[in-house]
Amino acid sequence: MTRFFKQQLLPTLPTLLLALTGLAAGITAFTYDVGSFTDMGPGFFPLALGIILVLLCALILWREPEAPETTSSDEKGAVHPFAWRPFAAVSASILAWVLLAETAGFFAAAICQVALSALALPEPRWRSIIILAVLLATGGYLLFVMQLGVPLSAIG
Amino acid sequence: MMTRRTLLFLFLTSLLAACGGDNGAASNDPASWPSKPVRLIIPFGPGGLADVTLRLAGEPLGDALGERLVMENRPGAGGVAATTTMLNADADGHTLIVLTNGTTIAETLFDDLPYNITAELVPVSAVAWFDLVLLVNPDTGYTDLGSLLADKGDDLRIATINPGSTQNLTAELFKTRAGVDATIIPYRTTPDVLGALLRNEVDLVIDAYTALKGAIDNNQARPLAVTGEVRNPAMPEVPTATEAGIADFVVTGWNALYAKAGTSPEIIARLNTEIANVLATDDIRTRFEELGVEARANSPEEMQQRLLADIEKWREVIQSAGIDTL
Amino acid sequence: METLNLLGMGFEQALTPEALMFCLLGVSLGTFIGVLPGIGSLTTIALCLPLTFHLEPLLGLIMLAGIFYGAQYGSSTASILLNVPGSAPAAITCLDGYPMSRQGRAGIALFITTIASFIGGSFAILLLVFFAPVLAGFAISFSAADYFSIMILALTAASTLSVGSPMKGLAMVTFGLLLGMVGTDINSGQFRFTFGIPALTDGINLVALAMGLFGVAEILNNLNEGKVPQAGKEKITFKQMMPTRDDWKAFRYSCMRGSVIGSFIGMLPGTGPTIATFMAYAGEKKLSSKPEKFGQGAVEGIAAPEAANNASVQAAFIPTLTLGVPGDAIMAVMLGGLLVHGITPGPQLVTTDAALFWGVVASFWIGNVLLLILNLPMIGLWVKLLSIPYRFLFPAVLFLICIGVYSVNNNAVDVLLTLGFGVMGFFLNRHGFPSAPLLLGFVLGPLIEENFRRALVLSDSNLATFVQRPISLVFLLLTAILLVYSFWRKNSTNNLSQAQT
Repeated sequence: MTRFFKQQLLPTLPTLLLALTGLAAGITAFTYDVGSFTDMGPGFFPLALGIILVLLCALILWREPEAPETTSSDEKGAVHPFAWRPFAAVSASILAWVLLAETAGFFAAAICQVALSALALPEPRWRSIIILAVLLATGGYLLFVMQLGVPLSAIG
Repeated sequence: MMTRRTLLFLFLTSLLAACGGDNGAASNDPASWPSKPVRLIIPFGPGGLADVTLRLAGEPLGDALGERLVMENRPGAGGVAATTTMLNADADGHTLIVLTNGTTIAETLFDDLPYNITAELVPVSAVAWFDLVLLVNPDTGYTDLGSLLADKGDDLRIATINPGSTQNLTAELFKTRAGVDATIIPYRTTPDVLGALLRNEVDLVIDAYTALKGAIDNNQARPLAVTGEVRNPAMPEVPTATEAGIADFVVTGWNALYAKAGTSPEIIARLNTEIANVLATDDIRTRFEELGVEARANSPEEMQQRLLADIEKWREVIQSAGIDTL
Repeated sequence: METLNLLGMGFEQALTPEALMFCLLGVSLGTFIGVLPGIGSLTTIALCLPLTFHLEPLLGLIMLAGIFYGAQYGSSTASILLNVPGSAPAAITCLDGYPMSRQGRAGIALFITTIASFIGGSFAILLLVFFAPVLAGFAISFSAADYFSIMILALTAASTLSVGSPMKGLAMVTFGLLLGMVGTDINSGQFRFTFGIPALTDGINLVALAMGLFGVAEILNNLNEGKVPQAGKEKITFKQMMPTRDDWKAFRYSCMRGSVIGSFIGMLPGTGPTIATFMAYAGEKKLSSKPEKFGQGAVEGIAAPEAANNASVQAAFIPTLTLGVPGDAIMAVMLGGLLVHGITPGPQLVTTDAALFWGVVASFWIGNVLLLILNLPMIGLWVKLLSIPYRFLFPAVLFLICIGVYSVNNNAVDVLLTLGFGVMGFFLNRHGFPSAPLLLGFVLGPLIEENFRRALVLSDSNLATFVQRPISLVFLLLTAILLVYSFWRKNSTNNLSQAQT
């Protein structure tokens, strides 16, 4: 059962999600004034696009059955299996930046962001990463905050 | 593997940073104010009218206060980003915000703003005033508003910038006051509006004087009326809309400085005096005039009255025009 | 003749030590900013604008303009080396620039893009010098129907952007068009797809979308694959930078075509370099006898977009300086800078303040020359950048993306959006959905809808307006011809391959 899910259903997920987006967009668009072709309201174009998107996704699902994800690492076409660690690390690092930049200041955000992103690779070299983080934070601060005037405080 | 030491180090750094706070909170003591540079939050991007006028006035003001005025641009629809930033600051007079008549429009346009402007912000003074202009293409030969309206009537086409802007709402108001069922065609920016006029796609354009001053001087657009209460000193021969025959149609845009509620009244009073002084200087007056803007301060009470009146005024216009709110 | 005299006077102005200094400052800063992913020339110019208030208008304008076109030189560097665009228009250069880099031809790619940028910029400057008033008048005559037809032509360019399933490419274009709808509808003021989030009322930030879709997604993909891209560690000699004779042949005409397309798009107010680069790329691919080589490192695939990039940016000055109608948002900011000094650009500027006008124009050319001199030796340096271990490179790129995107609006929500689009792009790419068509759809969507509706309002709901206006008709015909041509070509290659089997 899970193999079916993994091999057959999961690869179609993006197409399905895209279709769902089109559907949601179309439904939302309907609540805006749609109007007519020669007198379009704000809802017309989005509704049309939503419908087109759903149709395209349906066509894709019908005509192009998705190959199950392979584990081979050749050049073209094959897709690497999804690895959680780098994905989580990068996401966490950007999230950390977003949360810290305006509240804890430029340096905290930068250092945390670099440190968290280093977790993406299996054996982070912490000393070099910390040095990189400090260098980037300082250089970035000098360029962006001091020189260009981006309104972020250094600390806090 | 990450050592516990490095983990601890990271944790402590962040903690320190978060607690670092405001470089020692400045006291709300009017006697020592200002004790550090004053932030001025501008709800527009750099280069716009509000930005430029405040930067021009900001310098001498900073000199008078003894501390620099630091401009902070926080653009975003409805001024929400700017106001939120403002309200996160302390009420110690070291952070100010620029409100415009656009703010009064946003009060109606945005249903659930996460703050209450009238309760959480207090006025300091107005800074700049500007009116809008009604313009036509010189090639069309119209020299007064009356004949234009008589000729075109309900076929009148007016170009303005995007719906919800002061200019656009002024056009809506114009329709009502002039009694014409004109078609308002919105464009994205003032240059687009000018382009439309040059192409004769529209009959009339309503926009800020500053934005189209260049076009007027170049004779690309001819002003038929101004929307202010009195004639614009830069164009003394152009009548006001009232003089041109449109009753009860007066629109004046403004920029004003506001502080957070709870700021000590002495600080506000001092700011008000300094601003009035700066705006009275010849240098600032002339530079503002070159931009098509009038430098004029007022008292906090007058400013607040104006704010409330404008909120009401634009609420009426928005509701009767049926413009959607967020 | 008269123009040459004026030009001479302009050069006199532009060659003073101060002018040269500010020009150098502007173009250097511009190139540097262009290389950095995230932060773009609009933000930088806006941030530098206050500095120019205290300068003489000519010097300030020279510096700001330098930043503007300088950034276009630098933005392809990161695209080629890292597959991360320095700015949204540079995203197209990733398509063929990065493969070239993987083939060990990074130095050549950088060399080609620099030369192409110079040629594109110079071409547009020539147009500006000799034909500005005529072209400006022509450009301003474009009405909504005309814009619509041009955008439709641009949309057909989308079909050239997908490597692989055309239907998935089409789906991405449609999705991009939909994303462009988020925000406030210009014709009615209706908030669409904003779900009560004020940050979305102005629409989705283009920089956030581009950086997420191409920058973050690329990093996620590389890390996921585990094998990180590493270039050779040799030093790049000047000889290694030199393109082969075949390269030059491919370069010649694609560069010219890119310059023309870029100049044309650039002088139309309201369009931008992103559209110009996409159209130039599409033009090359459609006209090429071997379209399959695109996406694998085709020289035309970087020469044309880069030339178009710089041409469009210089050409944007045509309506700005001669009519006072800014060619795009950046121009508007610069005009603001002029207004502060009491100078109003417009038809009279050319005559009443001829010194300023021609001084600026002359400095454009000087700036481009400076950029050429600056950028060529730097190529070796940039290629060396590739030898930095990826484990240090990618955190740095992420860092730059975060602060760069933030600096556009000083809004952290934009950075969050970048992450969101990065994740979305990563997953979509894995399943064969290409990112470039989405970007194109996003940029074109609002323009297509807005102009279609406005055209109908202006013509009183008369659909015939699209064929009645000559310019609009021309572009619609071009689109039709292009579609027929591609269809015919596809069929004939099918027949050919069928005949062979």
